[in-house]
Amino acid sequence: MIKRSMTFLIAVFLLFSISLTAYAEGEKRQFIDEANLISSADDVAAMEAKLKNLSDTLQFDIAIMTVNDCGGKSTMEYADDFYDYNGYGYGADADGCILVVNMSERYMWISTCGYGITALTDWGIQYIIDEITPAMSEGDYAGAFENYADLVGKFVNEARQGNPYDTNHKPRQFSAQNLLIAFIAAVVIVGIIIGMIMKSYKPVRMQADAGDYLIKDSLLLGMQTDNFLYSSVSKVSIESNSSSGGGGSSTHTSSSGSTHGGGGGHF
Amino acid sequence: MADLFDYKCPNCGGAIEFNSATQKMKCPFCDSELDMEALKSKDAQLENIAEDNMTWQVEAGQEWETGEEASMSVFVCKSCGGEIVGDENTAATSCPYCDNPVVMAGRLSGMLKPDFVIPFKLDKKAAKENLKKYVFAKKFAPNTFKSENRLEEIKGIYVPFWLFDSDIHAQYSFKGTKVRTWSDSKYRYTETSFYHIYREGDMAFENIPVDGSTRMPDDLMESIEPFDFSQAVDFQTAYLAGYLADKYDVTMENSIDRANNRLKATAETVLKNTATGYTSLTTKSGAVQIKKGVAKYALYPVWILTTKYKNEKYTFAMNGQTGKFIGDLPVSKAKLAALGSGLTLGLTALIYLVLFFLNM
Repeated sequence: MIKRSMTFLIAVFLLFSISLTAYAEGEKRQFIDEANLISSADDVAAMEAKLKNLSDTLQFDIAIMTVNDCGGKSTMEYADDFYDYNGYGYGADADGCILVVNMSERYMWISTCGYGITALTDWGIQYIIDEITPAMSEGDYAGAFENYADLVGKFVNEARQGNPYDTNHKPRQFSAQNLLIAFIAAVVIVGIIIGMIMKSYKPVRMQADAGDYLIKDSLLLGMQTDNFLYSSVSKVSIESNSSSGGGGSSTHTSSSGSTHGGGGGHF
Repeated sequence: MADLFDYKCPNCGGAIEFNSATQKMKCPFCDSELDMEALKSKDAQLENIAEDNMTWQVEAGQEWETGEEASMSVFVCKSCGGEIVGDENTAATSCPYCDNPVVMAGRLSGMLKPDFVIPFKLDKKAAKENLKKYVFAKKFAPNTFKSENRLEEIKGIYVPFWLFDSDIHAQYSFKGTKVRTWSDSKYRYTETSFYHIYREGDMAFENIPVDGSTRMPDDLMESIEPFDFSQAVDFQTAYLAGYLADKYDVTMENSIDRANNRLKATAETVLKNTATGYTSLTTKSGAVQIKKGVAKYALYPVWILTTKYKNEKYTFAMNGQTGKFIGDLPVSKAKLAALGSGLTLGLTALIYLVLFFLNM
């Protein structure tokens, strides 16, 4: 009888230690909310799960960290260092990215590494920052983070197709500016068409010449001279085509010696 | 002693000098270089272009035979004062110019007898057909306009025309350019060469028509041209039977200017077309001298209909010989607006989709 309860206890203890070990090794979390922007524990867990799933599926580390301040470092340095010294990133190149939200400065920074530099170009990072800024400003942090995760996933997938989103290849979305341009162009074209129709309704006009009454073959040419006067030459330099590619990514070296890309914005 | 000439640079107008190094004339202001010979002959040509000389001989108009005038009556419109002529058996009821009623005013007198007439080839039925086809082809004419047309009122009128034949001598000078482009790895070059072109020639015209009636709108008459004079016959009053004729009231002298302008325009075009191989051509100056000019007087067949719509007068005319139909039509604002808004919407969507898929 004692043996059975002892076995039971040992089993439980073992289980507990295993999970503890698992926990100790897997200390690296995808969602570190030190600034407590998301209050509900359930929501935190849900965000953690979402980011973990996405990262595993893409083999690309997507992390979010919120802090009250960066302790003297710039948000960029803080993000780079946290990423490097905590073992983020998949594969030999440490593919991934991390979004750090610095509440004291109300500033956020996305730091990219490895494949992340390719998938998120300078333009791409700025695009994502711009997309989540309205929600961040309003305090809808959960919404902003969800959007961030989705966008990063979208960008990584597109990059894996061989054509990362950049200035020359933007994600398709509704553009009010394009609609205005289309409208103006349509108005101009319709204006021209209507003008032509109205002109055709007033076809009565004086004849310009008497061509119909010229007796054919009556033309007898007399003196004809064609005198060359002078000529002038002008030249225009042929500009080499500025790169038709996109903007690309700028990078810097972090304190640990690895290369990171990145960009940020206030909210 | 050489002549002293003050040559102007054809490019910038500055005084051009002889440059001994290149043995050519060089302009110190714009660096153009010209050949001596080119400049001299250009000057010579300018001196030779004489003034326009356009005088005409009139051979038009014969005398009426006895009794001919008496068999024709004149109708007068009380509203616009228009006069039309018909033979004794024609009854005219409405004015072809303004659509108001006319009354017979008496026998014809004091009108020049025409030399020629082109008889009507197309009858009233053909005229009504053409009118219907013309109006119904215009989709934007107001619906009420299409139904209010009183097709029956279309009238066959002989319109008086002055016809001008002439042999002319024309001289024109043009400025022409030839443009050549080529490029190497660094630049794209454009070479523009300027030429002075002179053309002189003789040509002949026959039967240039000028509307001889003030009330018949000139632009309408010119729009139904051309008339084929080869089908003209010597005038007989018998041709007037069943039709009306317009009284001429524009003298030949007053018609001459119109004929001259059209003449000159054709002379310029014909000579310009002989200058081939140029990228662009502009006329600098020119003159026409009439060596032999003859004016004749004829009646041409025209079907005419005047109708009113929203207090505006619309006149349609059909060439009674060739069937060419013309006339200004009102445009239905409602239909046009409907088309306009529909098209704008459709085009906006289309252009937006194109931009969307081009990913701009």
